[in-house]
Amino acid sequence: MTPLRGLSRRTKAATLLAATTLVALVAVAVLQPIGSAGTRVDVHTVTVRRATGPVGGLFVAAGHVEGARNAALAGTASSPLSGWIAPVAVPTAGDRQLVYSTWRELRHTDPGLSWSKQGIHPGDALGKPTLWIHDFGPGRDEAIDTNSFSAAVRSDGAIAYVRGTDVYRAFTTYTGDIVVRSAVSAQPVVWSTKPAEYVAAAWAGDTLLAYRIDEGEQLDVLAFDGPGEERLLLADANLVALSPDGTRALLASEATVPGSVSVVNVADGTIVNTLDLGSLNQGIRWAAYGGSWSGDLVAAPTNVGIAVFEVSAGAISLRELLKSDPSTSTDGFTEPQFTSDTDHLVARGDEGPGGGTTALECDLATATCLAQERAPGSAWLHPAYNPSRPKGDDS
Amino acid sequence: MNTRTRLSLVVAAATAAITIAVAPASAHGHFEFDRTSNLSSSLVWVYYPSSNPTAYYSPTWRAGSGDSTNCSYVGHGWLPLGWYDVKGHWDHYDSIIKGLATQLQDKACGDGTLRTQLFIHTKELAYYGNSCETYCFDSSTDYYSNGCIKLSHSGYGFPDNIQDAHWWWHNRDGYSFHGAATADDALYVHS
Repeated sequence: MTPLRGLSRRTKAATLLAATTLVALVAVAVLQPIGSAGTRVDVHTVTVRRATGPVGGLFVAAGHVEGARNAALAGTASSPLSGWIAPVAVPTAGDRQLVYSTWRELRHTDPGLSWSKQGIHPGDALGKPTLWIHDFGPGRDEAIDTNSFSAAVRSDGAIAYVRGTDVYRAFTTYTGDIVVRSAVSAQPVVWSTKPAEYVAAAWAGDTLLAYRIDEGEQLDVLAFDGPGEERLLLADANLVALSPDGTRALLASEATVPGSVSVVNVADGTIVNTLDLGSLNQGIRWAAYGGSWSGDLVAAPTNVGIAVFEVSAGAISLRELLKSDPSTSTDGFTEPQFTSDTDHLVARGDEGPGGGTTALECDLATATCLAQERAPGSAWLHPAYNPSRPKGDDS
Repeated sequence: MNTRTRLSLVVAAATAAITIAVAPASAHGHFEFDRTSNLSSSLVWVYYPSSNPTAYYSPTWRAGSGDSTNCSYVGHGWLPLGWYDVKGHWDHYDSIIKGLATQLQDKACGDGTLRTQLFIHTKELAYYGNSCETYCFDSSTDYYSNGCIKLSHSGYGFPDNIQDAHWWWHNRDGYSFHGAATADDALYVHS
């Protein structure tokens, strides 16, 4: 086998593409009817093919919007403090605007070295997030707030986000408040009761769901019903997705291994149904944030691929499992979002160590994903989507 | 840890001593985490008992990190590669994490995502007791974490590796402090 090291970038790209295509030709979607928790599950190994044109959905990468819209942004959409716990870029109703986070290094750091080795001392300023809104009409960007990130955008235009109490500093936990603006031009109102390491996640009607990142990166899902009205919805959990009407949330508990998924009433926190992931006998240990709920189906990223859960008829069941093929370059699917129907979704494909990211458009019926061609080492890509419900799209 | 156990550890260290031709990272020892899998990576204490560049090693402990090999997956991915400073060490930490706990500096993954709130710890109570399910180490799946380095704790058939690692940290060119304080270059994560 020819080692990739030493080849030109173009040759590497061609080699990787050829390998991917070859795998796509030989990979066969495997249908496995199994009986678990009294349901029949379609288990497929995903085939990834090169897209001949742009894939569906909206993505941001390297200061640009790609996919359904094309635009240049004021900076690279990036949110180091939250990863993709919440989307890096969120379209407003009708996709007229895009709210996104950027990150400015206040001091360049080498992640291979310790802070002390770089002369960085406790309290030294290292970075600062900024929250922006891009208007697709005139193509204009406006800073909503500095030292702020992670926006949840409600259908009426209200924006919730985290506003830091200080810039990001070495050896110091970055804390902030959850603030809400009824409109971009309105003054922010603090909703959280005290600063913490928050991430604004999504609106469920008029209730804001947010994360608090605790010790050991434990994620607690919180509900805010108004200023100072904060309650714990579920500890040690991920928000997978919200129901289309915004009244229910699918939460993935990580309190045990394997974990579980539960439908939870947002209004009072009652658990409607729970499915233990271990009972499925599919090797699913956890489900994670960044999923999508349409009709009675929820697409959830898991440790083995994308799981499609059915959440109707008083129970949660696994309908389909799209497993990552370990022989392909794409070893992870994140942020799966249903498109206009529940037969297709867009997602981000994460390549292995040293690799990059790929925009994917997947057909659930054929278990085939089309991958947007990207040069190796190109900018990190993120799907742009709005997890808040109801959507209120007027398009 | 009783005297016999300590003695056996010292003997094991002496037996495991390996000469390498690199200068120590600092006057103190440091942990090295060989990041090979979420469930079964390894942690070892490396120290330099004299001024010459001869590294001595503790026994190697099985250790876990994360439940995904995607570093950027906050709350799931294993911890990033590189050198870390320690920002605190506690014998009886008593919050979400309990017991022996060593807190690490934040570290960025390849795409810039910051991993925060990372510790070296186990599943035990503040004074080393057990309370299942949350605070006992009774299964190999307990090596999984949200990103932290996890060592085993005694009581359910697993060795008390968190105590052993703690002993080496304090007694073999390590650090004597407890509480919030920094230790430079105290952990190296490699693959």
